[in-house]
Amino acid sequence: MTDPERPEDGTRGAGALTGVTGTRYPVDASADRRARGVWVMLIGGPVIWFAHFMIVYLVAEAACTGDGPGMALFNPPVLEIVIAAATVAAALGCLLLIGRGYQSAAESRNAPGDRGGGDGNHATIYSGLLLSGLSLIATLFVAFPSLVLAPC
Amino acid sequence: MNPPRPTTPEPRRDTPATAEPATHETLDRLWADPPGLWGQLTAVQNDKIGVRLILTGFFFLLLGGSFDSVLMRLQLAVAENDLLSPQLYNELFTNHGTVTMFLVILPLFEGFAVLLLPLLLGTREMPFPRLGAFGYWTFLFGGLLYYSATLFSHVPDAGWFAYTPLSGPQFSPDMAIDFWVLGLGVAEVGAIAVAFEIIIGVLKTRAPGMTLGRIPLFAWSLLVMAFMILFAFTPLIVGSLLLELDRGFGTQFFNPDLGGSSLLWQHLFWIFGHPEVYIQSVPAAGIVSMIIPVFVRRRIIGYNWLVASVVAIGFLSFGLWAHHMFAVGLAPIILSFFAAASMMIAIPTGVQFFAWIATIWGGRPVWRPPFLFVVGFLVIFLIGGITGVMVAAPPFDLQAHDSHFVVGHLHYVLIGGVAFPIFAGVYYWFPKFTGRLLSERLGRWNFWLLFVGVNVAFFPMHIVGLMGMPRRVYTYDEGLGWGIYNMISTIGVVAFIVPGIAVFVWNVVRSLRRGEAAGANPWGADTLEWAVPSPPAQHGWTNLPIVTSRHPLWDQKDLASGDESLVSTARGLGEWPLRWRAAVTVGTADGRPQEVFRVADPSIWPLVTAGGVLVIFLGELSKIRWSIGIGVLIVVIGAIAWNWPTDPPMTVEEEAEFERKHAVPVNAGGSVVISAWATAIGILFVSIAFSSLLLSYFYLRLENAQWPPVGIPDPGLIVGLVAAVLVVAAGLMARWGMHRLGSDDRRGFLAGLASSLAVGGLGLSLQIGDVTEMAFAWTDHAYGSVFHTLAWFVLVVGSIALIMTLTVLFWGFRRLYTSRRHAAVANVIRLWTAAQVIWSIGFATLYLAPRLT
Repeated sequence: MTDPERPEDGTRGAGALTGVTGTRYPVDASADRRARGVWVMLIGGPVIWFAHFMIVYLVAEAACTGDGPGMALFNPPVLEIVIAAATVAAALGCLLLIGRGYQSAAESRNAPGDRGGGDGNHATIYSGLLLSGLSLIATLFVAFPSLVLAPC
Repeated sequence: MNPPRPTTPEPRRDTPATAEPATHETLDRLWADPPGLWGQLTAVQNDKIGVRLILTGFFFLLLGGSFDSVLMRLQLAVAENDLLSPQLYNELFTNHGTVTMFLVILPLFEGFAVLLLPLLLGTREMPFPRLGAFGYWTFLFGGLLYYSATLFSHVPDAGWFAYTPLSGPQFSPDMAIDFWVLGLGVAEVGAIAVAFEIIIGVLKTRAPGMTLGRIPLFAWSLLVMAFMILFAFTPLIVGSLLLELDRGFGTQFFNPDLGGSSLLWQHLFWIFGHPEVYIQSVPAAGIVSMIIPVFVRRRIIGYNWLVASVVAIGFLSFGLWAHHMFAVGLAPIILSFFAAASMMIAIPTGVQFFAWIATIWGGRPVWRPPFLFVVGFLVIFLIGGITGVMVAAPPFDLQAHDSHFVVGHLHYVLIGGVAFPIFAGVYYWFPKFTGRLLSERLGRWNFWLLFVGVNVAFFPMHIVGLMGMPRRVYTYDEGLGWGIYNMISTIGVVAFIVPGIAVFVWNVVRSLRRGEAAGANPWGADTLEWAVPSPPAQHGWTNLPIVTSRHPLWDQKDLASGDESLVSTARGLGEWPLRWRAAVTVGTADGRPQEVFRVADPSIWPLVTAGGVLVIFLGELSKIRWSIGIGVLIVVIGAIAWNWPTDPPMTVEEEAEFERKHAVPVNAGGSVVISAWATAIGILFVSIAFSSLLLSYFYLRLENAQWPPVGIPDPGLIVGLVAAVLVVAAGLMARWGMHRLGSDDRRGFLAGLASSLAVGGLGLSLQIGDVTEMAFAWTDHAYGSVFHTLAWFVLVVGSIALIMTLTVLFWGFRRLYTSRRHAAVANVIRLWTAAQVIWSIGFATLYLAPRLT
């Protein structure tokens, strides 16, 4: 963890620095790097799940509803290939986050946590770890019927 | 995974007192809204706005929730009843659904949020008080506009979802549906405005030391709710726009004869409509997570799991809208995607349930009214949730669809899952804001009448629904055997629920005057709001609390000690400034103070701007279209006046002094941090609207074999391409201008902005010329409708970037910005980046997509 007293990147984000003599704190949201890491961990999994869901849904919609010139592009087996590829990519993404989350949760386990000092982000990272796991299950569960059902 | 910690069997009961420095009175006066009628109209204080939202929501509940339902139940009590005409029945169920879904629960929870969050999070005010006031006024105006349909006998009658083509110009030619679309449109604007306020409030204005992991669960829920409002209401606004264009301007979005699709409306509506259910139940679950630990005298079990559940529900709820459309003939594979997502949501909901039950199990319940309602919630919501998993399976849903089974299911979810926690929340927090407890005895009556009533009224609906009784049908045949169940349901409503609500109203009225005095912390609760006196001072906190725990009032000896730098900031803010409303923004994750900023004063402009919004929608409703222009003008003037920079009420030296002492910068001219956040969320809002339009474009593309339709040529490339290049270049010039400002080159800065304005203006004019010269009109075919609408959307985004550039250019000439202070310019550049991306995608869609196929 970086020292909160130290400006992380004095030149980032125009319009960001303030105060008469500048400030020791980065006050631009985009410069708050630790916050960014925590947020990626927290919502990364669900975002992957949602992206996967929209991709498989929209491609299926294109394959099953769309017809006319050019729409044959989405017909089977392209549909199955896209679903398979998107699912593998999304699952890998979730696994990556799970690995990362497990590591940071283990690292921050010994930090003072929510009751003492410390940065208190252990809880959020752990929630993110749970969410990545759920997203993995949800992604596989959504894709699962395509193994059984005929495409359209 | 938390380290084992000693559990406190009985959390501390003595509440750490807040310090009352000498400045308390001064700050209280400073933060009070002005007196009198003018004061009421200009009020921005969060207490006032929050209470207004709650009362208005409750007013609409009595009007639309209760009155309509009693009439409908009386009509259905016996077979072949002729108490109500079929038309009146249609109007009643439309109104009942619409009012409860749009005008009751939403303002209630947004009201809870605005009222409670500053105290709960340990800050003095919401980040944008004027936006809160604007949100309230637009919500009120929208609700009244919707309800005024009754005065003109044009009551909407197409169901709360207003399916096309029934709601289209052909089958609903009179103004009823216009009241629905436009009245609710105004209210939706208000809902989104308050959502901005809540998101930034939870993320950026918290007590020093309140890290993400220490945020109360209710605040987490409200944060998720606010994001969901943003993501759900925006597609609805887009859908309503398209519907109104069809109704008022002759476009063909939903007309299948000319390339439109009535399913497009269903998609747009349910992308809003299903998350809306979770928008209501997520904050309700948040209230439950606050109340259980207090009344079982034990820390909540699985805080991290509950946070994960709330976030998971927020996301998953956006992947199951089409489960309302299982019966419309979607491809089986698509059905299975949505069924899978619908069932998945049972996992996070189940996790919540087990966390609550485990907490109760490990604690010692105290059966006061708030806890009674929470237990009622657990029982009823569980039943509603399980019937929900049943209808998530397409084969079962095809049987139960549009039957009273679904009515039973949704009322178990919404009354058990949402109304009970709201009652619990009112019983729990009433003493904080009135200083008086609600009567315990009446509370028990209130609870038991409602608990029995809900089960008597809604359980038989499951049975009669499985027997085949359809929804939204005003009567039924004698011989079907449905009479007894309907009679029981009616008895449940008339004999139990109505008296239950009457007892509640009486309890509130009576306790306001004669309730037992509450004291600061009548329940021995753990969160910050119970540390301040009841009712709290106008500014809430004189010295900001220092948070070092998730349960500050149970774990901390006092709220004034902790990390030295935090203590210094908190103390410093208790003594200075005393002439303007100061609040602190903190780091999103670490909860360390980032800056001291000035919170807006009372102002009439939010009301004026809300009035402008109303005029825009009224102009369309009355078809006096020139008045739409006046409305837009009022909104623009109102918004500029509302944000007019005022001189910082102190000297630069004073600011520097505070910063030297406490190492936190002071921005009395306006916050750098939260204005950047507001810009980002504004961009998110525009992007969601744009995405909804893009999805509409491609959905219509899929529904049409020929695109563009026969007889319409592909749009010519040249002009559109030149315009796109010019607009992208204009954005780059503005960016270059800001870089010049960064190196103190004022002339370069002004030149950059001016050239951006000129080049962007040229690009916009070219594009406007191209669109107006197109060979097809937006009334010709759905292709034309979506082409023109998308093109004008992109043009509006470009115009906003230009207007903002003009504004900062104006202030640049007046030397408002320096190399160190130019937050507004940075925000305009962020907006330009968004405009560049949106314009490019819009160009590619409109001009290139037809060529690909």
